[in-house]
Amino acid sequence: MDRARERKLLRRAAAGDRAAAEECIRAHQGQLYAYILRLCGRPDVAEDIVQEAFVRVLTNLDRFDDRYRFSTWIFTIARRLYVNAMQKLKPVYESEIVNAWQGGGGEPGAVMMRTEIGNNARDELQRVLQMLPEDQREVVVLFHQLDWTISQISEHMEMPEGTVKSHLHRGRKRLRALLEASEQGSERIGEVWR
Amino acid sequence: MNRASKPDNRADRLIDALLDGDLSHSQAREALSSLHDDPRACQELGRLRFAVSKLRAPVDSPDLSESILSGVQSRRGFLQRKGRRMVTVGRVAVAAGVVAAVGLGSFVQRHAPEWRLDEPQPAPVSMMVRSSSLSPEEQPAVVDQAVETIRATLASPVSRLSLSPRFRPEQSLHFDTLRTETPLPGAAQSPPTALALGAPELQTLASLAASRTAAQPSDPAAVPNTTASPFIGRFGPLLVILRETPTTVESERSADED
Repeated sequence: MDRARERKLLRRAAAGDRAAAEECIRAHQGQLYAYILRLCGRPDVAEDIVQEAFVRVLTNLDRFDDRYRFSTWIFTIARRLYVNAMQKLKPVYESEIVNAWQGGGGEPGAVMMRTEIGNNARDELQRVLQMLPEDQREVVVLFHQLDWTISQISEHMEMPEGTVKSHLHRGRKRLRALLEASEQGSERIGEVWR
Repeated sequence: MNRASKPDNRADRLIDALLDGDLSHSQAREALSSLHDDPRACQELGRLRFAVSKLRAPVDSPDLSESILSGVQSRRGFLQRKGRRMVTVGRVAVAAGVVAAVGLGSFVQRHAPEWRLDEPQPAPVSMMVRSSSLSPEEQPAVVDQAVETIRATLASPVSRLSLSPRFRPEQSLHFDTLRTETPLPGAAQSPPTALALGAPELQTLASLAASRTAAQPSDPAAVPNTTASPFIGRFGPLLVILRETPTTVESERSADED
C-alpha cells in the first residue's frame, strides 16, 4: 500500500469509517502477527498482542502523525505490548507436565510423549528462533522476514545501526548453526526409529 | 593462527555484506567470484542463505479483523456515513468561525481601533499616585486628567467647588464652607456635611485659601464665586466622594459650635 493511499485510509478510519479501518487491519495484520509470533513463539499470545495493538492504535488515530509510517507506529505499540506480556508470562512447560500428571492425566511418560509430539509438530524454525538471544532474534526477523532496512530497525529498536548490524551478523550465524544442529538431531532420531 | 584467520575474516565480511545487501550488483558479482576459490566460504554462504530462506516462508496468520473491529467499536465506536458528514460539516463550521473571528478582529484593529476591547481602562487613582513621582510641570496635567476621568464617571458631577467667604483657615473644613456651582444630590434636604480630609490636604487647602483671602480685597462680596484654587477644582469630586455620614457631621458641628 502506498503512502498516499494509507494516509487517506487512516483519515477515513479516524473519522469513524469502519471499512477503512478494516482495510488498514487487513493490510498490516499478517506481518505484525508473524513478527510477534517469531518473537514470542506462542500463537495465542501473538493473537492477543496483535489484537490489542490494533485496537489501541485505531482508537487513538487522531494522535497519529502522518509524517511517519503507520506500520512503524503499530509495530512499536505491539513491541511494547510484547515486552509487557513477557514480563507477566512465566514459563509454563514444566508446570504443565506436573499439573497434568497430578490431575490424573495418565502416566508422566505419556504426558511427556504428548508434549514432545506437539513440539515436533511446531515449526522447527520457531523453536530454533527461540534459542536466539532476544535482540538477535528480533533483528534477524525484522531484516530477513519483514525486509526492514537497518535504519528502520535501528529506529524501531532504539539502538545504533552498528549495534543492529552486529546483532544481525551474530544472530544469522547462530541461526544457521542451530538449524544445522537441529537437522542433524532429526536425522539421528530418524536413524534410531528406523 | 592470526595469519590463518585473516582470510576467514575477510570472507566473513564479504558474506555479511552480501547478505546485508550492502553491495551493488557489480560489487556483489566481484565478491562472489572472490569467494569462489574458498570452498569453506562458499559452503558458509550457502548454509546462511538456506537458513535465511526459511525465515521468508509465509506464516499462517488468523484473520483478526472482526475481533479488532468489535474491540474498537466497544471503546470508541464507528460512525455511519451521515454521522461522519455531520462531524465534517461541524469541523468546517468551527474552522470558518475561527477564521471569521480572526479576520473581524484584524479589521477592527486596523479600521476602528477605538472599538478595541483590550484598550487599558483608565485608572485615575493610580494616575494620581503616579503623578507624585513626576516633575512639578507634568503633575497638573496628570491630575487634571485623573479628575476629569472621575468626574465623567460620577452620576451628578460637581463641576467646580469654591470656598465660601465664611471659610476661615483656622477652622476645620466643612462642606458649608465650600460652594458648588452644581448642587449636590439631596443637598436641599440634608444639612451640609463635613469632609473627611487628611491633614496634608487640609493644610494645603487652608494655606491656599489664606493666600487667596490675602490677595483679594477685604470686601467679602468680592470673594464669592471665585474658585478657591486649581487644587479644589481638581479635587472637588474627591471631596464629594469622601463625604461622611450625617451623624458624624452633627457631632462635629456641635463640637465646632462649642
